[in-house]
Amino acid sequence: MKRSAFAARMILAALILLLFFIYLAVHLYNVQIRRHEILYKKARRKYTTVEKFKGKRGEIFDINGHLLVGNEPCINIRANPQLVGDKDKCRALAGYFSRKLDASAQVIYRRLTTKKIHGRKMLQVVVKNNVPLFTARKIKKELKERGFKGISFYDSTKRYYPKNELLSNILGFINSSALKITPVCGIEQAYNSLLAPVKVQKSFYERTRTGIPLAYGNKDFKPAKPGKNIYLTINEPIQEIVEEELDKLVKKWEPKAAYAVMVNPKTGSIIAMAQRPSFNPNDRSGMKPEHWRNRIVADGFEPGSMMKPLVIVKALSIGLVKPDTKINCENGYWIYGKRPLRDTHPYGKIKVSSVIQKSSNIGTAKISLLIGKKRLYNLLRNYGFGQKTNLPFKHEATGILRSLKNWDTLSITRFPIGQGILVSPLQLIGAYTVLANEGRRMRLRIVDKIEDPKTGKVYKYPVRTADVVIKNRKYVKEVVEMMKLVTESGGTAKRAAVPGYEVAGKTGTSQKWVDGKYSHSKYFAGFIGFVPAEDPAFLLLVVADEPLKSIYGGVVTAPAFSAIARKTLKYFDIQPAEQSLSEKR
Amino acid sequence: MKRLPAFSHIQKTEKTVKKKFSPPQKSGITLAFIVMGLILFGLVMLYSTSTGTDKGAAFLIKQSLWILIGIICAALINMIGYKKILKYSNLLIILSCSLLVSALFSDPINGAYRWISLPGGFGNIQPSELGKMSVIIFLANYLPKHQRQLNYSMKSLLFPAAVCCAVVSLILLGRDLGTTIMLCAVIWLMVFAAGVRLKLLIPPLFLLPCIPFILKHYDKVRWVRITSFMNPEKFQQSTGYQLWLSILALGSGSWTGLGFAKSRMKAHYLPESHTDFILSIVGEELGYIAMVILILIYVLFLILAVFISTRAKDKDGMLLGFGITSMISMQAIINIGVVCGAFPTKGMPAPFISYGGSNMIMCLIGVGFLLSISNYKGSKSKAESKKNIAPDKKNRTKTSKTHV
Repeated sequence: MKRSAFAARMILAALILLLFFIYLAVHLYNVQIRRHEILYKKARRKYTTVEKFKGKRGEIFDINGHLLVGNEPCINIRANPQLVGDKDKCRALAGYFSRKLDASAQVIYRRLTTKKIHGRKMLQVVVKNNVPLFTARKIKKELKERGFKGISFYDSTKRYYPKNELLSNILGFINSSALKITPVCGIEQAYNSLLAPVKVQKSFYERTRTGIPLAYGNKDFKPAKPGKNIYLTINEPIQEIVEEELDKLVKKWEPKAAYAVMVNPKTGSIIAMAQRPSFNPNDRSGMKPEHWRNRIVADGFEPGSMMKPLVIVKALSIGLVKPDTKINCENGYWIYGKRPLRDTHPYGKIKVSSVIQKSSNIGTAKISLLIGKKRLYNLLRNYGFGQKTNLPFKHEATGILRSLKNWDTLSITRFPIGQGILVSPLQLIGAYTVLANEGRRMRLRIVDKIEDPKTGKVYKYPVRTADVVIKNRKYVKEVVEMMKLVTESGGTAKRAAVPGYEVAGKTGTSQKWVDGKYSHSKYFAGFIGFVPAEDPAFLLLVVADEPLKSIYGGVVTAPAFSAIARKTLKYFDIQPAEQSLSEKR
Repeated sequence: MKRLPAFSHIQKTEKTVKKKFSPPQKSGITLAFIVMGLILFGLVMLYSTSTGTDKGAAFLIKQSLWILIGIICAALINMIGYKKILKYSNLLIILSCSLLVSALFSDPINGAYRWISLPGGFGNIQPSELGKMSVIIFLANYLPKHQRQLNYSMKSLLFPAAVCCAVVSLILLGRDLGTTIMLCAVIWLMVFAAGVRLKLLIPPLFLLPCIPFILKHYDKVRWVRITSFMNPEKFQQSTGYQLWLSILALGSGSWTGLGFAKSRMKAHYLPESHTDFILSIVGEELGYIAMVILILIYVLFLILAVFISTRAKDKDGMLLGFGITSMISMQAIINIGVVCGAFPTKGMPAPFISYGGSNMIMCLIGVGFLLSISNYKGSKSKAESKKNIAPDKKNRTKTSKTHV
């Protein structure tokens, strides 16, 4: 064979190889250029993580920064039914989880064996949410040792209430599922839009297979924005005192419900707010709606005698009566508008100050007649009755204050003694800020400030005067003097006295309106007052709903008032008034 | 002082030789430059693919070491001359066969018996690389000598066939199907180039369709694995995973790529992204244009190498050069084809670019042979006085050192 033939064959072979190269170039063109769009999209999906960085829900603190509602880190345990294995393995796993996690083995077994739903593969099912970190860590280790597969652990947070029952009706609670959070009541519901983490757009980033973001990859990080933190005006130690004393009251008198509200009359800030019955937000099994209903906000009651000073101060300010003006109390039985009005004890002619001290219905009604319908109505409106308090709670009661044209002849004598008028505890305590704060009604505050935890920006809720009800503080002081007598000898609530301090207060006992008439067995017993009388540190209302062993506010709620007041004064470190000390000696 | 005249003598001859570079020599020099370029490109891409991994620097150092060894080997071969080495072809066959057998008894890596681990943890060598080369050398030595008989007596074909079969089956036993097929193709091309009649060469081609048939019916697992290249997306969870990611990487590249060192798939997605699948990273980072340029460079290599082979002074050289050329080119073809999904996925490194010692050294040895062929003056110069040869040889080594 000749050299040239040799070479020719080689060149021929080389040409075949060349053809392969050309074929490859064409094939590459198809892959790299023609299919670029689709392939690039699929490739990006492979290494791009699209994620929403969800911030934490805001936390709730008391005025001094004590945590009342927080977020607890926990673990959500999920399983991939595709990887778990056959039925025997599922059964073993379900048994294991039910033992460890207090969950139903059947439910877990059913979830694990659900490999397909509507023809689509199930890739994740819930085993148990909100597992404590410690338990989850132990389970993770044990699963590894036993060789189970397809179980994954996700970080999560759980809402928790470190003080359990404390303030639970005010704080409220949330129902959370994997997809969304539903606030049910209280601050959690009222300020949900602030507490909820701020919605951010999806962020995406390119990552390595192990999940580390690539430095050179495309990315668009939208950092998580947590919800705002709320600082309440509540003072936690005092709240604790109030709840403790309320428990004692409930134990002793066994009322259907009881509540206490403490307000700083100078600012309208609610210092404490407690009610019974209540619930433990951390363990809501067996909880009924009557437990979590916020009675202080949503319930109305007839204030009874607690209304009297509010009316009498107006008569004083107009100049209709003076503290020593004598009022004829008709010996306890007086007919007006063809209906009799009775006093608990019969009195003859007594001073206006005694009308309050002895809580005379007839005396108050006569003073109210002097004021007149129109002025009385306007006064009651100025006190805020029949209107919402502007606190953020949902389902707030407005109470019932009939408009002037619906008043009958009895109205003018009954409203000032707290009958026929329905007020919420909040309205009543709001009205009493007038007496404790020199004629100025303060707007109630429950939220002190709102803080953005990320930027540290703080929005402070301002202190606002709702209304100037009594312009001249002189008349208010006169009424305060009269109210001081209530807790002194001859008053209706001697048990509300706080040794060493002057207490200005008023009892209230009212029959409940049951089935269209006033009940003779069901009563509201209440006491409202402020200490020290001259320069009040707080204003406190204690109400018992249907106490069993006694019906009088001076008996049922006055001791609780006294106990709470004593402890609170100590906490606030308010020195006893010297004058009263010398008097006691 | 003694060396001075000798030194001036070399300088003079160098000048005179420079003017008298023969066309094969010139193409040999160009070839060396191309190879150097490919190696440098490979190192750069190796750096790119392994940045971020903890082994990045180690890869680069190791590869550089292999390249250095390869260049020294190539220089030695160029110095010694291919003619002398051809004489030891039988010895090489025996050596590579024994290495292949010992690989069969070593610990398997990824289920294949194709590596012998070196002591001291320096790495593994692949005896099949030596096997390929020794078969080419053997055929280049044997076929031209028995060329006349080849077409008349089957006996003369039996011996080389037996040798080839031994090596090929040993490689196949090591579970290295890709190398086996490639070696068969190289053998076929060499036999074809050696002038064996087509009557004898065409029938084996008809056996080719039998292979898939046999596989389909007797080894379904492997059949599925092999055919998964036709639809890698479907098999992306199993056998098509690597190929699918490779195609995604290439497809991301478009014309100009995502930018140097900006491959996403190298971030632990694409396995073997620094060895057999380095070209998919090239395609992703630098785009289609770079891939075409790379193909053109391989084509240029093919053309130059074939040119050198055809202009070799004797048939041994021609056949040897052609065998090496087809081996390297086919490796390039299979690698690119595998990476872009044109062929079934088989482990085959891209010559001069992929990370890996054995293949790099063997390819550089091949280049050494090609240079030696391009420099070889033929038997005439041998017959001339020994005095003339001496400066010639020195001269040859000089060129090889500078260009390889």
